[in-house]
Amino acid sequence: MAPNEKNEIIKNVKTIISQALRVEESKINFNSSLIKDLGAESIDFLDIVFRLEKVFKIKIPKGELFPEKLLTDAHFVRDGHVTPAGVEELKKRIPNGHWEDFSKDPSISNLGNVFTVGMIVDYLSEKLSAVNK
Amino acid sequence: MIISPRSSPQLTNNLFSRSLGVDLVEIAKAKSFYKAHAGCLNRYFSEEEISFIAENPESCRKLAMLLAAKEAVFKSLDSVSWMGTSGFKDIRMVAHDDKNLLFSVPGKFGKKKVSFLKNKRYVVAVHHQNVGGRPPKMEVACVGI
Repeated sequence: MAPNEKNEIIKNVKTIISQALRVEESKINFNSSLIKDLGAESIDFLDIVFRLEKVFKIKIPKGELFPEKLLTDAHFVRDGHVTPAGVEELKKRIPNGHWEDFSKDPSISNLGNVFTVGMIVDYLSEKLSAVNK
Repeated sequence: MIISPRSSPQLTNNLFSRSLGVDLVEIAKAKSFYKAHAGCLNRYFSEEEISFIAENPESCRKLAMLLAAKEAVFKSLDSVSWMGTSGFKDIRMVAHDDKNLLFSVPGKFGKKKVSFLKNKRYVVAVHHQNVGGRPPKMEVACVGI
């Protein structure tokens, strides 16, 4: 993907997140955590998915952008914590997540903190590249 | 003060052993969501839920009730704290009467009664189930603050 295309994605994602979370665009950067830094709640994740679909004219299947099914797999989750195998699997799926803090305390209640703006941008870059091939 | 597993996980785990779920939805946020995405609701909400919202003159407040109740139910029932977007689809609500809803969670419980209170700005859903040797007792209330 050309740099100007990725910049366009970043710009649109920032606008979408700004509108959905009612946060100034200047406060949103690539590494911002949606929950920890920008205060996103569950309803906001639905809002963001719908806005991304409209702006980028794509369909985002459930669980594709924000991983969910993985968390019901006993191999990956035990006693409220993500197992080492689960952390590795999540890292593969979300390479731009905030993994340093999560790895120290892989409680599922902390998982939302790893979802970043950069993760959405990377997801869209891959998705749009595949669509345009 | 609102105590929820998300805001105070250690406290709520110790006190309530995940039998309590609390969620607050700002009605203005639900209104903005409804205005932007009314046409997409069928992807996450059942026909009954959409009817519950659409047939009422206070659609946004009803949507806030649904969202808050689903999140509260999820927080109290599941050991997984990340509901994700699928949680909105998995927990189903149906209208019981003017003030109450029933909810069901596939594979876990039958339909249970949900009660609501609310004010002009917020809906707060509180779902509590008694855990232990006795069958689970469910109560959900939404209170205005």
